[in-house]
Formats: sequence, C-alpha cells, structure tokens
Amino acid sequence: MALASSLCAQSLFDLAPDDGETESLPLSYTAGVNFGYDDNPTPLLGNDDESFYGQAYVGASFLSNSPQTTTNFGAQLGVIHYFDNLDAAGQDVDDTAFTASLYLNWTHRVSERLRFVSRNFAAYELEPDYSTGFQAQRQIGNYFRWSTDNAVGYRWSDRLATYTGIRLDGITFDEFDNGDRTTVTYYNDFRYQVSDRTVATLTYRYSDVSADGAVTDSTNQFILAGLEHRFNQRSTGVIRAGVQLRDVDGGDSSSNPYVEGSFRTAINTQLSLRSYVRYGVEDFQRNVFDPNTGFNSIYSNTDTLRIGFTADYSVSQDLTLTGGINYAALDYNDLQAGGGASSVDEELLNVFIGVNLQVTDNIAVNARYNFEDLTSDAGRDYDRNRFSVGASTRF
Amino acid sequence: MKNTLKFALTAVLLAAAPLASANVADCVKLSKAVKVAVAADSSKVLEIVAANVAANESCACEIVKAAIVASDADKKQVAKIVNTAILEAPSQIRIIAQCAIATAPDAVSNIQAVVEKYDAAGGEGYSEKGGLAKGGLEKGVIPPPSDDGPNPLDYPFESINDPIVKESRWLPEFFFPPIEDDPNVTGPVDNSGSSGGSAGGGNGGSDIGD
Repeated sequence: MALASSLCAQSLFDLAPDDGETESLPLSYTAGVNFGYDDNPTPLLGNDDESFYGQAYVGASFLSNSPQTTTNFGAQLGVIHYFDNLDAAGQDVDDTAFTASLYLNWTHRVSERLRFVSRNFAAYELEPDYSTGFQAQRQIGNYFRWSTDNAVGYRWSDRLATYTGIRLDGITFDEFDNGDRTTVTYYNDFRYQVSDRTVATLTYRYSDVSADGAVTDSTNQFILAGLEHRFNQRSTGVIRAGVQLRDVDGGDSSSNPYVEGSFRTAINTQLSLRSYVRYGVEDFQRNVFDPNTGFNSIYSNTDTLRIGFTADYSVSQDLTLTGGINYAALDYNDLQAGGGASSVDEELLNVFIGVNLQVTDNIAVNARYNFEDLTSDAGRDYDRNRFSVGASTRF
Repeated sequence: MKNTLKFALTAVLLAAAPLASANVADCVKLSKAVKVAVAADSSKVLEIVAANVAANESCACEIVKAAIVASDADKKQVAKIVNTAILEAPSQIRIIAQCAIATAPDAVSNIQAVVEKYDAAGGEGYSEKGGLAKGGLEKGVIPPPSDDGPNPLDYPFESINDPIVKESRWLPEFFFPPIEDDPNVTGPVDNSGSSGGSAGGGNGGSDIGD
C-alpha cells in the first residue's frame, strides 16, 4: 500500500535518487480496500492475539519532468480496523488506526553548473517499512516519521562537482517510550566523473541526534569513499564505504566501519530487481524491553546490518508478481542503563509476495502475503503472518 | 509531539515547488498517439512529425522521441526527424536536439550537424515562422552539454543526455535489452495529410506502482 517507492527516493534502495522516470505523468488518483488476516498484530507483547482486519485508502500522485525542473508529488490517507479486540498486557489497544503519507521531491537545474535539490517526506504509519532502515520490529501504535533534505549542487569543472546540503529527519512513536529521535545532518559530497559511466565520490556527513527519554544524545561523523556506476540504461549500482566516528552522551566514543550500497536493474521489460545493503551503528533502536523480566535496557550502540531485495515480474500486461526480502541483524552493545544483558543480538526476517491483476484499465485486484520472524536474546521472539486481498482503482 | 509535527510540516511546505501545467498530460497522450500512428505506417513518420509539431510546439520533445522509437530510426532517419521538427518549431531547436540525443545517443553527430546548420544560418528564417533567435538559446533553456562529456552532478539515471556508450560487451547480453515501449494502443490512427493529429491517444498514465 506504500506510495510508489521508486518516486519517493526515501528508502535504502535509493542511495542514488531515482529520477529515471523521464516521461511526465499526469495527476492521478488512487483508492483501494483490503481485507486480511493478521495472526499477531501486537507481536512484542508475547500474547496470542489474532484478528481479521479491513483497510481503505485514497491517494494522489504527480510527476512533471522537463529539461530544467523535475517535480514529483504523492499523498495517501488510509484507515485500518481490526475486527477482533486487541489487548496489550490486559489493556485494550485501539482497534482502529489512521495512516497518512506525503512526499514532495524537486530538482531544479538552473544551468549546467548549478542545481537545487529538495526531497521531503512525512508519514504517519502503523506498519514499519523495513526498506527505509528505521525500524527492526513492529511496535505498538502508530509512528510519525519525517525528513527534509535540501542541497545545492555546483559543477566546479568538467569532471568535478559537489553537493552540499542539510537533512533534517525525525521519528516519534505514539505508544513507545524512548523511541523518539530528531537528527540534523550536514553533508558535502565531492563527485568526480571518472568516465562516462562512473562517478567517484568522497562524502563527509556530520549528524547530531537528539534522543528521547532515557536514551542519550549522540553525534556521528561519516567519512566515506564511493562509486556510482551506470552499467547500462537500465542498471546502476552505488556503493560507499568508510568510517563512522561516534560519540554518545554518557557513553563511549568509538570508530566503526560503515558501508552502504544499492543496485537496481531492469533485466528486461518484464523483470526488474532492486537491492540494498547497509552496515553501521544506528541510533533508532537503542533500548530493549524484555517482556519476560520487565527490564528496559538502554545501550550506547546498535551495530546493524540491513540487506534487502525486491523484484517485480510482469507475467503479462495485466498480471504482475512482486516479492522481496528484508533482513536486519542488530547487536545492542555497551549497556548504559537498565538491568538487561551486557549485549543483545536480534535478527529480523521479513518476506513478502504479492500478485496484482489489472481487471480493467482502471481497476486492479491484488493479493499479498507478508511474513516476519524476530529472534532475540531478550526473549521477545515472535513470528507473524499476514494475508490480504484487495482491490484498487486509479483514475 | 505537536511541536515536532508543526516543524516537520512547515519544513515540507517551505520546500514546495510550483507544479507543471496541464499541458504535461496532453503531451503524454500525444506521444502515445504518435507512436501508434508511426507504428501503423512508418514510411510517413516525417509527415506525422511535421503535422504534430506544427500543431503542438510545446510537445515537440515528446513527439520527436516517440517518432524515433516507433520508427526504429537509424542515424540518418533521426537527423531527418530532427530537421523536420525544427522546421515546424524553430524556437524549440535546443529541446528537440536534446530529446533526440537522449533517445538516440549514437546519432549525436548527425543531430549536431543539423543543429549547426541552423546555428550557422543565424536569424534567417527557414520557415514561415520567422527563423531562430539570435544566439540560438531561448531564455530558460539549458544549453546542450559541452563535448567534454557528462555532468558529474547527474546521478546515474538523471542525465537527460544519456552519455552511455553502448558498444561495451563485457556484460552478458541480457544486460543490453532493446529499448522497448509498451504503448497503451487503442487502435491504428490515420493521420495522413492532416494536421494536429492528436487522435485517440492512450488511456491514462503508465502504472507507477501502489
């Protein structure tokens, strides 16, 4: 149900923002309904709730692409209702949740030398999108996630250019303590055109993270070298690797390896693939609540490896198959507060498949299956299965 | 929470940019109609380009791209298409050339030869529409890239002038698929001898996912 991620440019798949849609797309509206079954809608509470649910949404999107300016916009509003009463530790949980998301990306090429880029996103969601690299479990209640990234690009010579910018992003949870974050990142990318197909990059980022509750603030500096390579008109790869210098209030300073990469290809007109990888120390998941012991432990670092793949296959003009995997391995270490273990390891595996059938020009039906499995040293293992069928229209 | 929400929404609103005009939708439909017409009779590609560019100058880019792809034009044919489009819309010469180069980068030298012919002519009119502006550049139009190569500001998919060299064969064959389009064809359209051939058109935009 997520907005067209290829246009959002907000996921780990989009390290090199995809402005590959060279044709403009007119303003279009979408609406849809889904009905499904979730065998574990409150997975971190160790209960056995299961429920059927209904979901409805409306949305709009637009892409304008001219030689000088590219603008794309999308918005979506939705509601999900669980038909069975859900409870959390003996207390009722809201059975109805509202969701909303919005993105606005803009690139203005003033000249061959100067351009401005702005990428903006806001979402109020219930389910985590693991491809964005913000979460590793399904938390209770909604969360609000937002980001705005604004940069100026300047071409200093035929081969050398820079992007200099500032990114603000944040996440807040309605019902999850110690999870809120606000981050300010200043960055500069040096870009050198090695060949017609390849750009070498040297990146410096400074980010200041403000955390919530018992989790302390931190600063991170990234010094990365990278390559962006265009294999052909349909295949690109991006990789950046280097060092992450980290300083945590009330914790230790450390230097850690960091790598991020993405690859995308349209193998032919039927099959396209995207993948991402990222390894580094994250600030989003630094506290672990063990439901068995009741301990809430705060750690300085969460060393995280994230890998993901997604594929789309057009069986015919009307029938499309989609599938993917998101994997995250987290190592919580350097215990700062709480009575938990000195370190905790967790692994999340998320697998999904779906089919979309265009029944008429404007109406499609779909079916999806989503599987999650969390294994944890902190005793909060869970697995979760979701099935859904639905219909949507675009006009 | 409330202050964070206000700050975030304000930041997003301040970054908003003006949206394009409704002509975008017309050019998309026109592009698909041109593809259908050229596919039905590729021998009339130049007449189709002339008629449609004359009636829709602002869509010259989409018309040229559609004609090149639908007719599977070789380098000489690309140059003829570009020349025909420029004759009908000389004010769009740079856009036409850039779009043709983006679609058929191996014909860049043929396209540049056509453009240079008009540049050399300066302000003398080649059509009834009064010729080209002195200096050849319209206000707001990005000048074509220099012969020194691509722009390092471009992300891998962002360049509209596609500098990719296609001759390399160190990758397996399936990495070099033909550039195929799947127009939402509604039926052959006869544009022979008529102007403003925006007939039929496709149904809606392409699917951009859910």
